[in-house]
Amino acid sequence: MMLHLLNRSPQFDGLYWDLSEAFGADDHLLLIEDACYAALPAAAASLAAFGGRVSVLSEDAESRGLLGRLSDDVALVDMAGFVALTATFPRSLSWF
Amino acid sequence: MIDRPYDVLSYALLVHAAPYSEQGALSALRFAQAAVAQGHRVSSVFFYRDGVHNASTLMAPPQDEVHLAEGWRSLAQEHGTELLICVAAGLRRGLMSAEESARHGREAHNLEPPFVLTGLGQLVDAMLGNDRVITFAP
Amino acid sequence: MAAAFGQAVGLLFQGDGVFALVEGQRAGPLGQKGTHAQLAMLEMYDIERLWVSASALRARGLTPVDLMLPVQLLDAEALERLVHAQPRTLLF
Repeated sequence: MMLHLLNRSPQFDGLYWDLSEAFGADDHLLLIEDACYAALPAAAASLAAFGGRVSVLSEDAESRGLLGRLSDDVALVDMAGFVALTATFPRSLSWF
Repeated sequence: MIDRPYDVLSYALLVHAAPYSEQGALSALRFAQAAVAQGHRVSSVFFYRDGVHNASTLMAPPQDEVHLAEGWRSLAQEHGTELLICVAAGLRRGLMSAEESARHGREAHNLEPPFVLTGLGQLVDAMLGNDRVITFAP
Repeated sequence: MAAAFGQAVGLLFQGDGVFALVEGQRAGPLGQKGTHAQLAMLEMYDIERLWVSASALRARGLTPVDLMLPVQLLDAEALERLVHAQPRTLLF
């Protein structure tokens, strides 16, 4: 059970591939910073490997003008929710 | 009374991100503030690579922007967080305490407590000695 | 580095990280030290486990003979198992 943190936009498809190789069945992915762009419906293919177990940091999405534009499959979490995810998952890995 | 829905955990943060060039340092500071607000303990922040620039005493951003070094200092003062700067990464980039400055025969220094120059051994300690290790990347 | 503090350490190379293992790197005109010299000395630090993503290597037209050290190739399934089996992991 791992939490994966990703901060790069989906144009870094090699990084998304590396992450998908390490992503396990009980894992969760949190999109932060420019990775928020992966939560746009147009970028759905970049998240296909993560089985809907994906959240996006709301303040980062908001600052980029993305609220209201995001895919319904991606859950919004605030900074307190980010902390809560790190408490729930014993280990985290940051991909960049 | 702080609402504590989870066990109180100890965190170490690893910051690779330079201040202002990228968002990672601000993300790390906001995460640290949110963690202590939830009653968790952020016992140390280890600054590595370009992250060492977060420690500069001379940082002077415009007044309407977040002052990252000040934010880190407040965290240390209010919550006892250790602010650890990788000495090898710092010296390469011109981050020097008064002590290192004297050792290298320089006239100025730009790193002061609560920021502390330290070795990678402290990072290993931080990784082994805390419940959670969270990396904030460039 | 952690090996110097008594911890068992292994290294996994993914993505462009596999280029760090390519044989024949040198400072050349750049005068940069690079990491190849340190990698070549890993055995001194008891870091004997080197894992490489098989797909990352293949995608870059490389095979294990192009690398300066013997490595263990991992397919996606083995890589996922490895990452989840390690108690502590840092990505660089």
